[in-house]
Amino acid sequence: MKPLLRQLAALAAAIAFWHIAVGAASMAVVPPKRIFDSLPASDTIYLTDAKLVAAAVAGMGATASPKLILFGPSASTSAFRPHEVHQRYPAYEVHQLSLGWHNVTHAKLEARLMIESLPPEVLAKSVFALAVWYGGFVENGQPHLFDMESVFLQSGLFARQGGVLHPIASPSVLPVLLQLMRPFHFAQWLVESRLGTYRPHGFDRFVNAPAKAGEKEASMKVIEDEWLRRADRTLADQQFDELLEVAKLIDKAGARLLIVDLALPRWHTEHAAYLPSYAAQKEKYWPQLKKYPRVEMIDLTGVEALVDDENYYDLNHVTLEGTAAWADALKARWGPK
Amino acid sequence: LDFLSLSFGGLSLATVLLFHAARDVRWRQAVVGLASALYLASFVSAPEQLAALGAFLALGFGLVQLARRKPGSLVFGAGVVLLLACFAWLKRYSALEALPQPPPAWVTVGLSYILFRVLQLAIDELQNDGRAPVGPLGFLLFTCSFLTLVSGPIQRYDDHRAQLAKLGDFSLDAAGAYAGLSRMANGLLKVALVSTALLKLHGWVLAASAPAWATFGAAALIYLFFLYANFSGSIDIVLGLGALLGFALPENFLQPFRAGNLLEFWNHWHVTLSQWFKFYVFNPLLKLMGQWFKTPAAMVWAGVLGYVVTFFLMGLWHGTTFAFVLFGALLGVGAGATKLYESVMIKRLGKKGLAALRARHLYAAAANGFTLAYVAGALSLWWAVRAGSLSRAPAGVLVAGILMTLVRLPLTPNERSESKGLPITLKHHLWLGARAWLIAAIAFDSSFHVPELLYRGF
Repeated sequence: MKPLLRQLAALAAAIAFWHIAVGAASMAVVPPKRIFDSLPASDTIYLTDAKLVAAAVAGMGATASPKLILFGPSASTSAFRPHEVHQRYPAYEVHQLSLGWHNVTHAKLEARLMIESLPPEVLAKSVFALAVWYGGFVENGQPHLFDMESVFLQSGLFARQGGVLHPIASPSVLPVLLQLMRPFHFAQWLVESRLGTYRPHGFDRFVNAPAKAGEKEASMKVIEDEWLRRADRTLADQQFDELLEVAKLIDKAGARLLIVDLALPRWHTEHAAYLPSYAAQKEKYWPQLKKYPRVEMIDLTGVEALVDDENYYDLNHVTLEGTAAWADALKARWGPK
Repeated sequence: LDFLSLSFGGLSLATVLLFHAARDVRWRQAVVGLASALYLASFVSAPEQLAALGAFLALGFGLVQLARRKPGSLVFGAGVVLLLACFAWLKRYSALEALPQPPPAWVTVGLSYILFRVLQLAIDELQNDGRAPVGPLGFLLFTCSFLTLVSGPIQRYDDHRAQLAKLGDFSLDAAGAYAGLSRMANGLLKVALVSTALLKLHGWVLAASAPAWATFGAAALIYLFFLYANFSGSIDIVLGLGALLGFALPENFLQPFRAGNLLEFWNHWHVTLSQWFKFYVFNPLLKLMGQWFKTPAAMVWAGVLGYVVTFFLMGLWHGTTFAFVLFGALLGVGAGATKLYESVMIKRLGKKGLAALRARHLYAAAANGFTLAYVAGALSLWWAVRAGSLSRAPAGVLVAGILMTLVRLPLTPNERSESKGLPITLKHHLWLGARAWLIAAIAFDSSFHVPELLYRGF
């Protein structure tokens, strides 16, 4: 028995040695930094925005500071830059955890995982800001929606229990595990970045990975065909019901929720075939959302400073020059003056 | 349980630690039995899913008891036919599609290997006198050992029983512990990394925009290497684990890629299956034919026929569809032709002359290359039917043969003697740790899809 135990101990020590060695190498190759923003994914060992968000969610509980967590679709990523928002809300640790190709079902999953990853005392002083636009209410099953669960599972920080995704540890342990798993994440980075096998999912598809010639244009055409010209479609209840669920979850967790209805460029508003249906659904659902005491509605649609076509580089993504106005617009409508 | 899962790692570690916690032979046998029961249970969500497997085992045990009573050949033959019929039905052979099919929930994991062990036990009982009887527990431990349940190797019962009886005397030294763990690590890496990479490469080559004969030939060879990594990796895992528990399980791969002909290949690839067929099919068949064919020339043909039949059955065992009938036919024809060629060449050159020819470098390379190409071509029936590319096989196999003749594969290291008896130094520990860390990193990544162990399905 003794030789066996000695060998097992030696094996455990050798594994620990390699784990530390790979971890040290990872620090040298890709210096670690705290994550507040899903956008610069390719500068991190997580490579894609979705995996970066998974890591960010797991690491959020590292501090007890009140948090302002921006999440939702990629339009929110470009509009609300975390440093701009933080300047206007210095009391909050600002996290930008929005993702592309994303609907409210994704937002609900993200909200639940964030709630389960944060201690109750931090939740009680934190604010979630969920950005919405009509395109984020696309029904489940659409091919361009990405598989968020698989990415979260790949991070190793979340696992399915009874078919439902949960963090693998309590909020106090999760940030420590995130650090301990860094060598494994680095191994994934090494393979995926060298073999080029990673697939950016959302906004970082354009920002982080140079698109092949014509890919962006083709993608934009699909979006335009889908969102602007499909007048035969209306927005179904499914995703609005999911929004009610998000509100219920966050309210029950003791945190606050801002539902930020995003502005769109003027040309887009003039052409979007879905807008009447979106307006009708808001009329139906917004009063129900307002019943939750910790839920506030922030309406940025039609705000003059935000609708200038020049401040967008596509359908609804804001240029860098336009972001300050968005932070100002949010500040004007919510929080201490 | 998946070999890469935390559960399998936990079960293995717990079994090894509990096993070595006491030296009492019954304790150690009980630990192995408990591990086997837990391993089998991991394949089902409800006990009734094991009903068919249980019934098959009961039938097998009955056949062994019947054999002990030395019944007439007709009665024993009827018992064997019944067992084979149940096996074919439970395995859903496509030829039996007209019959009502067994419920999908029934779990029949390891059934093929159980069949071999049961037949082996029954035939040995029939042929040998004075053996100690096989009790129900001993029968279950032999047929359903967690080490060999899903993909072998096929151990001889007498060896198994002898090792089981001596488990109390087994002690592990530092070199033995290292060798066992090291072999497990090698096996896990072969399964998780090498076989995964080769299967991906196989897919890429098939999809490549190159001439069809070139892609087929390359894909066929890659699939052969994939299968080797996948299967020999799983064997390394169980042999390494077995070594930690006092079981010297038989080697299943002995540098098969060095083979100079098909018969040699099968003596080095899935060795225990080949030996089983040699003992229980080829030898009895040859003995039977020896009663009919009296002249030496006729015996050559009897040998050829024996090889054709044996290899056909061996190929057929691998699957349940018509593609495996063809696979068996190709193996049978190949083995028969090899035997015939050997006989003709011996007649013309003599044994020494043939040995001299085989020693020639170009001949040896060509023989090796075309043997591997033939096997790779036959194995293409496992994937090319699905890929719809079977028509490219002849040209592809020719190209693969020429390629392999030119390249000559690097030899596969035989890991049996790894570090046995050598002092284990820091370098060894770090090397084992590096492999183990890599395995952990692979297991960590849920997006890393390790291919199924192919021989688990047989």
